[in-house]
Amino acid sequence: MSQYEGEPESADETVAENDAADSNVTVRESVEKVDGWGLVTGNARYTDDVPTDDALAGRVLRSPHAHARVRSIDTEAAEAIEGVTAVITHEDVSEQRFTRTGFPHPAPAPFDERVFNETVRHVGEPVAAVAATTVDAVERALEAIEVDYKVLDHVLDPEAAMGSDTPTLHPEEYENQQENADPEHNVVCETRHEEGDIEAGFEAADEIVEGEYKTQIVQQLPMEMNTAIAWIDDRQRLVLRTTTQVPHICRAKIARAFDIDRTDVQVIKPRVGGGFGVRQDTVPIQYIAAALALETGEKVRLRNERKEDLHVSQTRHSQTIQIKTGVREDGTIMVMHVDITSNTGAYGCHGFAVLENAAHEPLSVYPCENRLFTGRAVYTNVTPGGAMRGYGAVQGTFALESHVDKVATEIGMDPVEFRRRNAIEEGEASFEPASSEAMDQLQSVGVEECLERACESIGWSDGPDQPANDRYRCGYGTALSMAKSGVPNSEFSRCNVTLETDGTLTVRVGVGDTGQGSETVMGQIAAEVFGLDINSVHVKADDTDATPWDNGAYASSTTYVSGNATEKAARDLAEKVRDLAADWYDVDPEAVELADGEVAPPRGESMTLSEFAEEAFAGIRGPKRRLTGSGQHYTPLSPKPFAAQIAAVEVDTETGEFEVTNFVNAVDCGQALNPANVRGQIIGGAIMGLGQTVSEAIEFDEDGQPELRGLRDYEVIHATDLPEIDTELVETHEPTGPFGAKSVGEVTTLGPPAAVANAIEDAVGVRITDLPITSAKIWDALQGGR
Amino acid sequence: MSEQLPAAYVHADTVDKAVELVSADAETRVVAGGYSLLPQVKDGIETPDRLVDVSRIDELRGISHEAGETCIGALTTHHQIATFDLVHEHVPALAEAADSVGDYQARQQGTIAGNLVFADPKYDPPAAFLALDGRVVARSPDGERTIGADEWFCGPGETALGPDEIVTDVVVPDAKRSGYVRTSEYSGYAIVGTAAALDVDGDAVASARVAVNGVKPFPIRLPNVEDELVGKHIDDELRSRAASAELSDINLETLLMNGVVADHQRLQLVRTYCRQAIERAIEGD
Ligand SMILES: Cc1cc2nc3c(=O)[nH]c(=O)nc-3n(C[C@H](O)[C@H](O)[C@H](O)COP(=O)(O)OP(=O)(O)OC[C@H]3O[C@@H](n4cnc5c(N)ncnc54)[C@H](O)[C@@H]3O)c2cc1C
Repeated sequence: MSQYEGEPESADETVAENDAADSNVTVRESVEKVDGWGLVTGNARYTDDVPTDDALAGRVLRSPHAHARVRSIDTEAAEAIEGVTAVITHEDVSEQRFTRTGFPHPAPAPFDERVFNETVRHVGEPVAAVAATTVDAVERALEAIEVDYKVLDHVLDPEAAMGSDTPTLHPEEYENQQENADPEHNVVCETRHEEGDIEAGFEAADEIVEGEYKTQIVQQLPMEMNTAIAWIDDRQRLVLRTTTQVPHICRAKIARAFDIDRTDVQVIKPRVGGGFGVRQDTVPIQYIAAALALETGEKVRLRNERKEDLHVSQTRHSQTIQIKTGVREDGTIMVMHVDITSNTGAYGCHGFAVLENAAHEPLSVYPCENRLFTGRAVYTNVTPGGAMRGYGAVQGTFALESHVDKVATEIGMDPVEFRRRNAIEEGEASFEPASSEAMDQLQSVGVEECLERACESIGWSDGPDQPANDRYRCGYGTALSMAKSGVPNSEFSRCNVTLETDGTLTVRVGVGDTGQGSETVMGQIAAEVFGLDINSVHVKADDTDATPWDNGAYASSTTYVSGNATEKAARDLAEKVRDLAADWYDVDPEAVELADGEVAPPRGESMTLSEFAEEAFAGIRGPKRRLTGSGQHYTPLSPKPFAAQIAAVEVDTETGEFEVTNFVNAVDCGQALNPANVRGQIIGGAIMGLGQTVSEAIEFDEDGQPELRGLRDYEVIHATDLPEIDTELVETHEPTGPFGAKSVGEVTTLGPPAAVANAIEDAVGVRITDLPITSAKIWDALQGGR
Repeated sequence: MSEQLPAAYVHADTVDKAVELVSADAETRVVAGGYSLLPQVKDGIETPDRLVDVSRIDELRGISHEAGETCIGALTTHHQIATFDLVHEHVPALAEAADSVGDYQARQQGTIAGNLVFADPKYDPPAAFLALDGRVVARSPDGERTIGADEWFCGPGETALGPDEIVTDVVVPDAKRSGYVRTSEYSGYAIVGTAAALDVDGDAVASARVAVNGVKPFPIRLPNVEDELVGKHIDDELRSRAASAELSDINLETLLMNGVVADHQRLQLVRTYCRQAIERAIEGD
């Protein structure tokens, strides 16, 4: 075991008292991103930006079929090609089953896959891989591999997949099945969570409103393609340089899959060109690069092409969501029943967790007494669903926030007023799985103020100005949303902060900065404790050899969980500095002041941190000392950020075409530790949500082939398509967060689909209930009579 | 799986040299800006043995106006067409179509000839070219010939250009009263683009050409709409008449199915944008 290895051990220690918010030096300032210059000048080094002349080229042979059994693979001809070093198939790689899903072991996901599966379950699934000295040899070898497939019946629709006359995707036994799994009928899990008395709730209601909502499959589309370079170092350790959000989990999963000691695996995460969830998992090419390196003993480089990434990298689950609500005439929600069928694709991966999140986050916003969630995740022969910013809650929020508007309309109440009346308040609990302790009362809830600020910004009470030409109609629509700050009782981060002999700090923390700015924020937190400038802090976070365990960057956990660990480590170091100074001057440690980068004992001269560090290391006043503080964070809490978002649209009633003309985000993320970064997250999240709202979709033809030739067929929203975006920070203070912070990475991705759907309803009286919202759907609905 | 690049890539310095090279071998393709061809090559849809790059042939560049016609060299880019005063003045529909093309990079790199030869149903200049009754000047080993817009488009991505011919110029007669409008997907490509060109005698329409892309696999004219316009005085009634004209020329069954816009709505888009193109044309000076 390496010195830093650490599985989650103990429950949380209480977080140290936070500094008063206004005495800050570095936090709550928009300091430049520490990696910003490198990124914008092109000097930053991404996974593939290292010389790889010494690397073998690796490539994956992928299944052309949606469902087939590999009867045999003949690799002889491929192996005979000059330059080919290795050809590997399911026969060469361990038979162990696992899940690629990037949570600490055991993830809440069935162990239903191998590096190469004998039965392939979606188009593009890896069947074999080649390493060769030239790209040309690789290409020829891929063509020379002969695979004898027995094509099996496939199923693409989740409803059909649960039927009796459909193929079973996973007939073999596998471990770690999730709640009420029924593999024979392709059910990954079936869950039910009930509070209160559902029947009584409906009986007490004046109106019962039902609706069905559907969401499509979309992709994260980070700029950098999935890439993995693997080699064996001079101490026979496996090194993997790769695009990941979770270096430590990746290391653990690779070690487990190949049955090697974790200490013999190193994962390096250079700069990463975006993640948005897709890099939470240990993706197939990471295992394959490792397998090829282990097989050949040489360095092997694999990088998906954009088209490959579009076809095989994990997507946002499509869902069908039914909601039934009982409401009183005065606007009180009496009962909610949400039922979700989620398409998890070929493997279980995030099927269970995404399903849970789809219901729990949106439903938490409306803490009525009687709530029921029923749902299931289903296998089908499409690309497996994965983690994507918003993680289920995008789907659930589209459904619930559309439905809430529908209910408000039904009882003739203003949708904002209806939300205000029912939304969660401080001291109320979120609606979470029964097993979770996170239902603790929320200590910072800025929903009401978010709504207020959003309404003010757009001028909600006046409504939109209508164009003179009544061919065009304008409307406003709103949506509330709630996210989390990490997975409670799972997230774990450990951090070490060292006082260097020159008085600067080195922060070692294993968070995965994928461009979101986590290294900057960790630096700010450590700097703040000492009143230092951010430039006096170096954050080392890109290598599992140099950092202690951290789950990584997902579930909006980084600022809250890793940030808390960093704050504790910095405070631990500060305490050691005080103790030592107290020793030197024979005073009480409490009396030693630490501020503005200076150490000030009550008697004796104050000195800069660098003078202090140099003296400590010189050993003038006692034994040589080099001080390191450490801290860890593991918590049953997961404070919730909130957003109120409003879309303004203009609809052309003649053609159904529409434009989102304005968009407002009012966000409560606790204290914004770096306001510029926070705004970036808020706007970026909203844009991603808008893309899913108006255009993006991955569809499969009847044979299960993804209908995408490349990026040009994926209608990603462009900068030129964007509305005016206004962002309002509604800062609350989260007492358990580092300097009052909660998370902000996901919450604004959730609202746009419903806000736009509600705005269109407001403008022209038609409700679009399936994503994406296209002009054709609006036109159809308009023809159907208003 | 990955890109197959052609074995040979050569530059031609003169039109004659280019003609010689393309006529020598059926598997040779001309490449100008490469913005249509190279994606096809990358996808393995086109597998030429050899590419002849014509982008250095200076005689294929430039815009001139003479005797009531604008003559545009084959290599002229969309950006040049969209920003050149002469084009705006004499054939606004062409300038507007060029200005609609994709993004700045595509307009800088894409050429008029490449666009018309590739003849993708989602491209913009083809509808303008058809409404403006332009013609293509092409050269082959047998000499030069011109091909009129009505004969140019033969099928999806098919034109009347012979395999041994090189386009040298695109010529369009003046049509000050012309316009092009489009509505686009998020990809930036047109869903429907419509162009109208009117010849006005006094204050009545003497002749009209209206063309639309995005409806069939190649741009088509709408004779019914044109008939509605001819002989009419330019007034509000004309504008609404144009919009209500029966669009029976468009056979619904052959409508393009690209999933973005359903067929019946596309018909409405054609109606709406046709009217707008006609309005634009009427507003021309
Ligand atoms: C991102 C992107 C967005 C785009 N958006 C739009 C859009 O919105 N609207 C639109 O209309 N277009 C759009 N385009 C297409 C673009 O306009 C065309 O690709 C471009 O005009 C083609 O010209 P080219 O010089 O690049 O042709 P090339 O790709 O070089 O050639 C295309 C074809 O024409 C032939 N050819 C070229 N020149 C000659 C010649 N002189 N004689 C004979 N044959 C010739 C080639 O052999 C080839 O078959 C877009 C393209 C891209 C890449």
